[in-house]
Amino acid sequence: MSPLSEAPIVLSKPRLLQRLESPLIFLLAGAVVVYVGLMAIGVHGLANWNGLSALAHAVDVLYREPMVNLALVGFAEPPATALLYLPLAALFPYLPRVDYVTCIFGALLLGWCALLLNGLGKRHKLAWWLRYLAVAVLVLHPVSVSYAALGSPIVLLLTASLGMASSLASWGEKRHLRDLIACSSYATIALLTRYEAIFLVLAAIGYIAATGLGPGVERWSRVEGLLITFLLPVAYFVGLWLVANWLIMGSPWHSLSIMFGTTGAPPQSWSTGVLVTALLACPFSYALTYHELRPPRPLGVGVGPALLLVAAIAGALLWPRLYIAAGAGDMVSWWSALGGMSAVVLATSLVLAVLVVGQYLQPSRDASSVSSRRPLAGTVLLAVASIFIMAAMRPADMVIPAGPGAVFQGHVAFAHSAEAERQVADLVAREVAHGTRVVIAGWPGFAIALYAHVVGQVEVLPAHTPDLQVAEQLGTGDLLVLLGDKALWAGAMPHQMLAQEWTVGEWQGLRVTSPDAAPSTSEEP
Amino acid sequence: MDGSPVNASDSVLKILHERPDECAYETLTRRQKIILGVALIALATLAVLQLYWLLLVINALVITFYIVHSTYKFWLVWRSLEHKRELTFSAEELAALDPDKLPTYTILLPLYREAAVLPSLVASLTKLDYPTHKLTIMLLIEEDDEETRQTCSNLELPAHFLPIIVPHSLPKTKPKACNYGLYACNSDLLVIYDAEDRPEPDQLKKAAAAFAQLPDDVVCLQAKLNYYNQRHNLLTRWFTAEYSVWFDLFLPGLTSTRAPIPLGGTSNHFRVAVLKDLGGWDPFNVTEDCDLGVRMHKHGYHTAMIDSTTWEEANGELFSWLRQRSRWVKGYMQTYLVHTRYPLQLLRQLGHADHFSFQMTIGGSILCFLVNPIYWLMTITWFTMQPEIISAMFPPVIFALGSLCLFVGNFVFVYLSVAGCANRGYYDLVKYAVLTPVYWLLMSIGAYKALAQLITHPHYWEKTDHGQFGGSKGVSVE
Repeated sequence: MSPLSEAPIVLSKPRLLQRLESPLIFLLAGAVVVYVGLMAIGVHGLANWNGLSALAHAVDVLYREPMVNLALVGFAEPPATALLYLPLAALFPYLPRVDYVTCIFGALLLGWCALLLNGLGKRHKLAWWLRYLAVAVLVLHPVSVSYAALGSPIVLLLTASLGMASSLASWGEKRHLRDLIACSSYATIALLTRYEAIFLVLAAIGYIAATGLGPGVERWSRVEGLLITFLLPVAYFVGLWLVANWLIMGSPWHSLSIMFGTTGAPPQSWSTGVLVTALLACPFSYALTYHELRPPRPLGVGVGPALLLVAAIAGALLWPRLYIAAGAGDMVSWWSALGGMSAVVLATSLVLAVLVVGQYLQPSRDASSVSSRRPLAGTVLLAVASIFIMAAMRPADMVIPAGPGAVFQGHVAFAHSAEAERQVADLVAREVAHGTRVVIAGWPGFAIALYAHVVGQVEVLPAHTPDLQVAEQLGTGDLLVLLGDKALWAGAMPHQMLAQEWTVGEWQGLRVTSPDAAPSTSEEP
Repeated sequence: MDGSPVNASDSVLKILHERPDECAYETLTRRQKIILGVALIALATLAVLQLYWLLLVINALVITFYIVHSTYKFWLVWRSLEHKRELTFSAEELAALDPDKLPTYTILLPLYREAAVLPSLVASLTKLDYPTHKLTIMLLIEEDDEETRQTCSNLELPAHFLPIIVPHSLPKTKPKACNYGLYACNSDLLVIYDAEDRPEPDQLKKAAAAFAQLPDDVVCLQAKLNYYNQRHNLLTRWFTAEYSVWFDLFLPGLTSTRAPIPLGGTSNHFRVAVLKDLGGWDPFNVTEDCDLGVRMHKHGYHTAMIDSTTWEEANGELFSWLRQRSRWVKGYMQTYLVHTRYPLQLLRQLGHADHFSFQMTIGGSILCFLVNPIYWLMTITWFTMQPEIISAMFPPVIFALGSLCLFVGNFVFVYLSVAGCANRGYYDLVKYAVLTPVYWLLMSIGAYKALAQLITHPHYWEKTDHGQFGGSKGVSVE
């Protein structure tokens, strides 16, 4: 290596195992996800509609020529997942099953999560077995695997929040600008994945501002400069998102006005999962973060444990409480409107806030304690608290939605059977092959178009209620694939009739006929 | 006043006599003129026959270039952010250097109409932490510059200051004066400073220590440049943001890849023997520093950076700034044209990676300055009038890539300015860095001025006045 390329750094040559560590962790984590994903998708025919809808938006952009502008509608919703799906969606025509793309997406992200967590532990000089244990908890946890295996946007949120925690910790320790930029990038992705991540961003703002408040008369300009550096990408890209909403949907606040931008799944099933994932996996990173953020001075008696306890309470106890508030819906109305996910991210931000306070309240540790190879007190405390909370939650039926045994056989959580959609897709593909115009109305109609490989050749309406413009354009012989009340569409088409040709699950195949044509009979395919 | 018995024609024009292919005396060679002529005729023919396809292809190429160029620059900056790429020395390491074992050093100070700053310059240079018996400071004063000569005579200069009168000859440029000093000096190392420069006192020691550590093929060290009057006005704030990115983030990243370095005008430290072998500076190139960086690389030599700053005076007057900028861009154009006279030979000399870097750093910068306003105009036109021709130039894939350039690429460059200020600790300048797109517009105006001047007055040196935070006058040298 050139003396110029690494001039000020003296590095010993890492051993083979050390060099292979990161690739191996990434590959192993990815392999777990791919295995579970292939079982879930290929064997059990499951799908995560959130992930699949993001994929549909990306496929739309790549393959829906010349109506590419219509496809942009997908990016009016929180767009990060769809944007990240874009390069993977290019694989769409070459895979035997389109939804394998979602599995690849999840594998890449969970692999990245594993690297982030391992890196955090490494920076903290944790013993290898402790790092690997933490990574294993994250990667093998049924909830995180469930999200990743089917490419849910939540796995992206998990990655972004872990990335924020990791880069903030590094910023707190070294004050390297790249950590601030990395944190800002992760924060942008988090916010463009779920708008609830605003709480994480707010917490990060608090922490970064606190780090700027050092001695010197220029401290306020330092805070200002650091905050602009952190917030500029966040504000710019969120601003673009709002403009996109305004241009495409007519209101800049369109996405904020809908509760779940890309989901149709009932809140409880997935928010419980996030909760449990956060309880088990994230506290480790938060504890590490907490530990790293402390300034290198001797630790005062009792202060550290007290703050760890506060962190544990904030990080673990608050979550179910807030979740229950969200579920009840009548305790704090604005909170309830945000949903259970908000509870998780707000609680996370509270933990970070506690860390900020902790940095200034507590006398700190000896710098030599950084190289401790013992498990962190905070980690243990939070893990114990998490288990306790999980036990406490069980009577309220807030448990892991799918156990490890089921998940590793492919019966992942937060998934829906896509059998009906696949059968309808076969029928639609046949119709399109014969040149029939097909309109699919109802959620998740995008899945049918994807499974049938006819994106761009069929029109997909997210709502099952009639679109008057589309209804007027339907002509004799066209096929309306509907999930919903046929009468509503019939009412919107005074000059045509709808004859039911088949039903599959809740989907109906309705042929548009002229009023004088004989009615068809209903049949199962 | 001392003079020096240097034969001007032998020394200052050595590159013209010995390496004419690497000299900017001729802006375009006959061969380049023919190629350019053929290309223009071909483009005109295509424009008549297939205007739509021509525009489409050019558009696709430019957008692809934008993406590659932005990605490359961002990658280089990220390399700098990953860890420090400059050679760093602690105060203890410098204190441990044996003064008697330090190499002999010459400082070249080309002075033309710098009487006003000369006293402060001398005061600043006497603060340099380097044994005076090893140091020679050459004040290169032009023969016809009576005022500076007089001021110099009135000063009580320390013994290691050596005023040298540069005989009147054309071209009257800074590199010509430097060459005069180069062939008059017989020290081991040499550095060039401008009249208004305030180098950090330990810079020479750092450079000497760095040269001692580095392999022989590293013949140049570039110190960082920044401004001491950064808060004078908005222009100096932007200028400072630009320098903070260029010298603190971009160049260190570039040196870490061992790519050709466009040297900054001052604070370049050289091994004298190699510099003499290379023919010194090109007196016909108005950014002789940039040219020398590329020429050194072509001949197998490399540049590194040291973690030491020289404080300069930012040009704070708009028209003066435009003149300075147009000279710089014109010099980049000269450098690009000189080194691409034999493209295949250049590729062989540099290798693929460094050739790519040369194209992005030198050629890419010029292209960006010139093409940016066209795309800004197209964007504004499209948003206001949506003409069919612009829509036709952006089929879906190009539209998507173009959107990426517009919304992400531009942002990345703004953010680099922000990062540059934050990295330097200029936190109060960060908010001004957000407004750098206005500064880009000024750069493009300077670039078009440079293009016009390249055709009409290729060797015209527009001198920047120092000592008053701006203001300049043109000096005809042809």
